[in-house]
Amino acid sequence: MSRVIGIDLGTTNSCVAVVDGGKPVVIPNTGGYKTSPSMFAISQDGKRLVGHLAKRQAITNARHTVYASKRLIGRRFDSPELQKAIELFPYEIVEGPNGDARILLADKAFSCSEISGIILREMKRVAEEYLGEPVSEAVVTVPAYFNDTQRQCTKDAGKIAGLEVLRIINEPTAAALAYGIGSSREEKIAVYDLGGGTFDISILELAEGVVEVLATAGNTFLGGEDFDRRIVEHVLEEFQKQEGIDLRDDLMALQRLKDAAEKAKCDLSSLSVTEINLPFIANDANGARHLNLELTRDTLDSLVGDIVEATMKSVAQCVSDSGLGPDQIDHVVLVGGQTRTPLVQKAVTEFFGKPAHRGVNPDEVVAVGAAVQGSVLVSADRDLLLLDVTPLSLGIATFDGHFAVLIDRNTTVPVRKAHVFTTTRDNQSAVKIRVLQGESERADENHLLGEFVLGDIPPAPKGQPEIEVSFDIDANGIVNVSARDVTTGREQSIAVNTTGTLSDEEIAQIIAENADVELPRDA
Amino acid sequence: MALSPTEGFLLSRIDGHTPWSVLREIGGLLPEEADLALETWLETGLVLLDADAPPARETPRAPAAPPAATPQGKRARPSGAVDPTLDLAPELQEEILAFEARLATASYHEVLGVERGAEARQIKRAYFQLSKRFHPDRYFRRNLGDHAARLENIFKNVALAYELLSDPTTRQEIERSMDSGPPTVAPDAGAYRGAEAGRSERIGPDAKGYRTPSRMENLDRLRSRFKMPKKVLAERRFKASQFHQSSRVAAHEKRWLEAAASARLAIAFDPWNRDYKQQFASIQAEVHAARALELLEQADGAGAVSDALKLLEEAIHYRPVDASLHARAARIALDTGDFEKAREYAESACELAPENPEHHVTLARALRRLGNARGAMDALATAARISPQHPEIAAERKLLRRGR
Repeated sequence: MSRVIGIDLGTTNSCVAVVDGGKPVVIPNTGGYKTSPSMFAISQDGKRLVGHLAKRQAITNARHTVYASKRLIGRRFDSPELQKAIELFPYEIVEGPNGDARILLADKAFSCSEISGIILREMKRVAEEYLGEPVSEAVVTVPAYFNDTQRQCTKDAGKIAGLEVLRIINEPTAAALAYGIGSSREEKIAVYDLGGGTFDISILELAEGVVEVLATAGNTFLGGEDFDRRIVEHVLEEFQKQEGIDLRDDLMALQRLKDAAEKAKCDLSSLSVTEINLPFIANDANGARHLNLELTRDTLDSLVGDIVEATMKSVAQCVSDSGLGPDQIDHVVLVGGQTRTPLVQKAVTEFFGKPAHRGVNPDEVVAVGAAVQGSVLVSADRDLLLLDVTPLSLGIATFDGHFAVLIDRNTTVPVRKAHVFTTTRDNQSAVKIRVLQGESERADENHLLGEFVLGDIPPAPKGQPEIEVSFDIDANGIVNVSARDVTTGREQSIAVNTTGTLSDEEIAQIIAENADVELPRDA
Repeated sequence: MALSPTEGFLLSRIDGHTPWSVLREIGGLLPEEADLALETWLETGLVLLDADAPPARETPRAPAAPPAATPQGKRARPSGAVDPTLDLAPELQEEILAFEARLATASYHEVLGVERGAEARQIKRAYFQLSKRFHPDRYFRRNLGDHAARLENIFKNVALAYELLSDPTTRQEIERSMDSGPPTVAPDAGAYRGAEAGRSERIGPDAKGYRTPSRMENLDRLRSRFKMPKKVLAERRFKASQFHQSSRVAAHEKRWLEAAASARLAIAFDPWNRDYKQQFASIQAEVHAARALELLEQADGAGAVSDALKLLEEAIHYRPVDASLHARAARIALDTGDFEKAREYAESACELAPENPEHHVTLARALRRLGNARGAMDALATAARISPQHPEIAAERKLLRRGR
């Protein structure tokens, strides 16, 4: 049987790893890089470009280069998050036929699953070249806060890439798996993951080869790009003050500025002051203008202080959810390049009262964990077990518009939970079961997964019939909901099929379309 | 066999799920009467005891070996069979079968294989050990046959037991439920303990003569077969406490309908708890009060006064001791010309709140209309004693004299 690869499908960068000879290996691409930009572009001469090739021409081809599409996946076009993204991204985002978001490149509307699929296919190819054998199965990671639609879209992306996604696992969980290989210690670990586009914090426990997720929290719209954006905004303002020119409408200038901001941010991880130098950034009647600005670590800290503070609020929430105090955490693991920022390290060290663990590379640890889980699943030698949890609460709507939770978020799967409900009117003969997912107390503010009706309830005064509603999540994450009239034994049930934004036919069509598109090699 | 309506209701509640101990409490009959009725039906074959029914599960195809090293060392009869063609060691298959067979009767502690006094660490350790043994991911992609579903079921039960026992609050709740013992003992403990001990003396008051020792013994025998497994009982108690809690929350937020529904469910799951019954009664009172207020508002707005009176009477039905409701009904009855009714309500208002002069004036008015001048004068005199300056007393006296 071929090996299962682990893919960290990141907002800004992706990484692939595999367990080879019992040891996890991060696979470099032909260019020698261990991570690849999660970027896709169609060049001016119509070529499809992925990864570093796409990034290299991103400045000159801003409108047709897609980055951070993970921020759009599984979201509705009319959602506020998406509208915010439309404002920020230089490429064109249009509404798809299912109310989803599509990206318009060279007159073709790409779904987000297709873009992710192209990136996954690239990672698959990198792995196949390294291993010298075909790869057909993968474990892919997502942020802990991804809902079922976003997870399904990621699975669809795998399908498009020609990969069977055995498991979707949470990024922080993967980090802990990577960290806990062969461990027999009993430890509590906090994983602070500040990536390009998302922030996650998880508290996990490792003991006797079992990894248990105690709690997770986070924000799918917070990450290193926000740091970059703050720097870009700051520079734009300074430039406008100095030169009286607004660069906001100049796509080319913006992209250059974005790159420069990212570089300055990285510089400030080790230096206390750096320079942003962008010659010939603008032209006006008086000739060419150059951007030359000094940026200190203190300025950066003041620009992003509130973002770091926001992450620490999630951290505090998560630690309290886990029922532990900060001092009971044995190790803090930092994930994501953004955690190299001194302000982040300082905040984390202060909160937990101990410095973060330095044994794992923050850029690669998630992919390693995914590979470990893939190998653990299919190999005969299984001394490690991941007890995964549901990311969001599941329940039903009550007659007064409340959300009655049956399975709390962070509950270990597989799980079965039942609860008895009753009628609210005399001689009520049917109840409607609306299955919801989310964290709001109000039913209508949660995501509706499906609904069904349990009928033929014998006439009885209100409050008398006992309707037992049970939720069942199997090891593959499939949710089954059933309702049973305890008196008559009559039962109704549905399998809640979370769908992505693409239909099966659409996926098949995309696969067919992509079958003969050969991508240029990354070098 | 002729059934009384209450007996008919009791019969309708026999559904194969509700245990004897619950039936005797919810039937609207005295528990002893319910016992007798159930006993009679059993004797006549009208209802069957579960234990008498043929086993529902398929009989094992092959004799299964006793469970290897089970946490509590109990023997259990597996419901499936070991299949050597599966990609799962026969010993493990036996273990799975044995574990699943035990689930139906095992307490949460027994599921995890821990003692009552186990430390949190031991509970967690047991959970991790069992997870490593039974989590479906351990056997990913293997040909497991029927065992796939069994593994999942086992793990779900293990995870639930761990979830409940690792939380100090729920653990305490569960252990307290276990302490209170089976319900057959709880409601009138003395009587049944006596019967169990085989004593011949009569215990407790026995006005109806149901509790003769032989009858007690007989009942006890039936009951022990009807008794809920400990775990089911603990589960039901636990559920009841949850319903009770949500009822209290709903009541606190004045969502009366929901509060009443939850309170009813709490009673259904744990009919032996007096707190739940009290909670239900107090909620019912509140529901009726709210309804009465609503009715009064409607009565004020209703065009036809007689409709208003009907609504008020309904309100009085809900809150029979509210003097102001009676007084209002009396006044409306006066308006509709139903003086007899007016007198009745005015009298009860006076009785309920004798210190209110208004009620006495209203009574006087009704009596005057009925031609009972003497009674009216007396009522006015009472009102004057309470409040000499009340303007309506003088006016009513004037009307009385003129009427004469």
